Amino acid sequence: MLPYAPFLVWVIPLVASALMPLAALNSRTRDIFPVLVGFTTAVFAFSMVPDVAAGPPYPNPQLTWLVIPGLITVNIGVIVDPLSVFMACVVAGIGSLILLYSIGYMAGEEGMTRYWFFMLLFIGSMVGLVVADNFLWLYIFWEMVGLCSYALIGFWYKRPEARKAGFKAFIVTRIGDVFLLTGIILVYLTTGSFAFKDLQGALEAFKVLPYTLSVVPFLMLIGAIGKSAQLPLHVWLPDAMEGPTPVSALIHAATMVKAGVYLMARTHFIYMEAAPEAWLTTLVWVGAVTALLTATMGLTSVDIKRVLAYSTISQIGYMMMGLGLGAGAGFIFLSQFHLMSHAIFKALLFLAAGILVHSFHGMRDMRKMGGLWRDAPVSFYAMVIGVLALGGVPPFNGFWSKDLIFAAAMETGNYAALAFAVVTAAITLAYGLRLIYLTYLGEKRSDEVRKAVIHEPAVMTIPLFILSALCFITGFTAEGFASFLGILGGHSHVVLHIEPLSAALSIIAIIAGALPIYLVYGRKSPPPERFAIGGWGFLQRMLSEGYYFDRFYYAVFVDGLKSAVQGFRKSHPGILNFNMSLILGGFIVLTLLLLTLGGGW
Amino acid sequence: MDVYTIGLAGGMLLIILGIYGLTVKGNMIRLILSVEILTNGAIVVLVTFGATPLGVINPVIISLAILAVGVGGCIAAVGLAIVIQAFRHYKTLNVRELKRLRW
Repeated sequence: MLPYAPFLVWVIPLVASALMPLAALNSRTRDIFPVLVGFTTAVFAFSMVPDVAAGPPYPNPQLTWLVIPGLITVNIGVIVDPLSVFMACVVAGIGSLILLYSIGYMAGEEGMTRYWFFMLLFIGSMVGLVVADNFLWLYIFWEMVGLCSYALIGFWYKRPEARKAGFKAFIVTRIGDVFLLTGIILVYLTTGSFAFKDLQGALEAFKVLPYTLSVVPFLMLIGAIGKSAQLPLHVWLPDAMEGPTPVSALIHAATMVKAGVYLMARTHFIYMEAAPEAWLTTLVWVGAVTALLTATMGLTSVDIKRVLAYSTISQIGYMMMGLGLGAGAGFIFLSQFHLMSHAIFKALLFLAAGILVHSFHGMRDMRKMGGLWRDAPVSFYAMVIGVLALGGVPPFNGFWSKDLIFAAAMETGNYAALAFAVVTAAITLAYGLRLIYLTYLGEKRSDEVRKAVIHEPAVMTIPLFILSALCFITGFTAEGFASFLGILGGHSHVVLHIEPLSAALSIIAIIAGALPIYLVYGRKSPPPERFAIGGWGFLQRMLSEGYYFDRFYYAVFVDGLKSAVQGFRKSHPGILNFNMSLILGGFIVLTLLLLTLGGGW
Repeated sequence: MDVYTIGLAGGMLLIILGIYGLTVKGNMIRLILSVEILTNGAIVVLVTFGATPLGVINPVIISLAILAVGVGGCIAAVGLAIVIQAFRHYKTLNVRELKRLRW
């Protein structure tokens, strides 16, 4: 471990973000400085791996932060255990590659200082979130991550859609955050401490769990649902595609949406003590239903980045499901392994798509693209590798991590969840291949695309090469990864083997997903247009509207609330003297009440 | 009359004067003056509560009062700045005529 690495790993990007205005004095240092900071952070994060791999006891440096004598003492500190170090490595590692890519993608944009500031703040607060050892800091960083995502999604604030998308992301995640905060306050009131460690101790000390603590898991689950964009709070993530592509990659692969999965993994011991059955079932089904529904939405989307957004929601659903299945057996390794695979292939997919979106000046409609594989070879091959990994085709990492989730579902006997998982896997590969067929194969379908010149500068392709290589490698690290993380759950040896049955299911899912897409988009029999009419058409409209979730929320919470508030509009005439007279009247009434009732006190 | 009665009555008088000004006047500068009077009435009440019969001053209350005076000064400054801007744009100081600024 480098000296003070557990603190420096998040302090460096936070301080560097504050220094951005200084670095921006020179346009060259402005772009190089944040990338260097990103890689420094990654070095610090990776330097903690050997210390943790050696096993417990894990360092947990603490200092006293807030003291009001006799009332409250808050110790803050960082925890260095396999889970936090793993997450820090994912965030800092993928984040630094994305920062490097941003140099190419964002070249010549306005407001770059703001962009770099929020990117560094984003990475720093996400790393802080995963290494914090108490709920209070976790919550502070949680909110900072939300703020950064708002600012970055709405980075092109001159576009009304971008502004709205940022706004929506902020408000929808806020709903989950309120529940999380309630949960944290309940934990504090019951145990008198914010630290995870103290809570664990308190849980063991209680003979009968207080009622408040058994509610906490569900409150926190809602918080995670909001942040990780699970049903029914998933509506913000597809709209978040209005932001620059590196931002989407960062939100989807490394930061933000992984925070919910991390929270669930970090605090799973509470749930196992408090309400194991109900909680595990909820988690598995939230994950399974989200995975399936959002995967089907991805099938009909025509926006290249929206397809990837839906696939993120669906893959996070997989992680939740993996956590629900694995935590029952006492280990969180399944979800984290899939998280790592997903972080790598989703960053790859977004950055590959970013090359196209960048060349077309923000045009993302796949109906206008096509036949681009010759013009953008690096992007094409990266996309193919990404889609195969996403769809769970061996030997890419997605296959191994999904296969373990299938195996876990089979072992726990949860065959309904297994069915959801397999169907989702088939649909996942289907929309991935559809994306490739529509964008890279066939003919170019619009003048805009024919005229565009596609640049693939080295700063944009190097991250793609690294991530593609990782897609091959990480799948085979399951064994080592399990012993790295498995210790956390008390299982020092987790037996990993590819079950023939689950592998067979994977193969079936691959065939079931790939064949229809090949027939429809490759052989054109039946042609894709057939699915826009009749019963298929109804289904297609429903899917492209996202099962009307968005419409419903707008009708009830936006327009409904607006019209309700307009009812009170008449009582606000805007005449200051009139308002003040009313205040004076209220004041007199209060005084009289106090004088008449005051004797009773 | 002890110090409490005088202090509270004085504070109350200032508060009522402030509210009276806000209720009746339409000139923006007069409104800001009224707000200042109102705030100072509240500060007088605060200081009165901090005073002890023996005449010993409670430092916490006094420091809070000084803080409040400072904040009140800032509010007046910002308010007057807004008034100047509004006057430059609309050539009037009457709030009734500025009603169209209401959202």
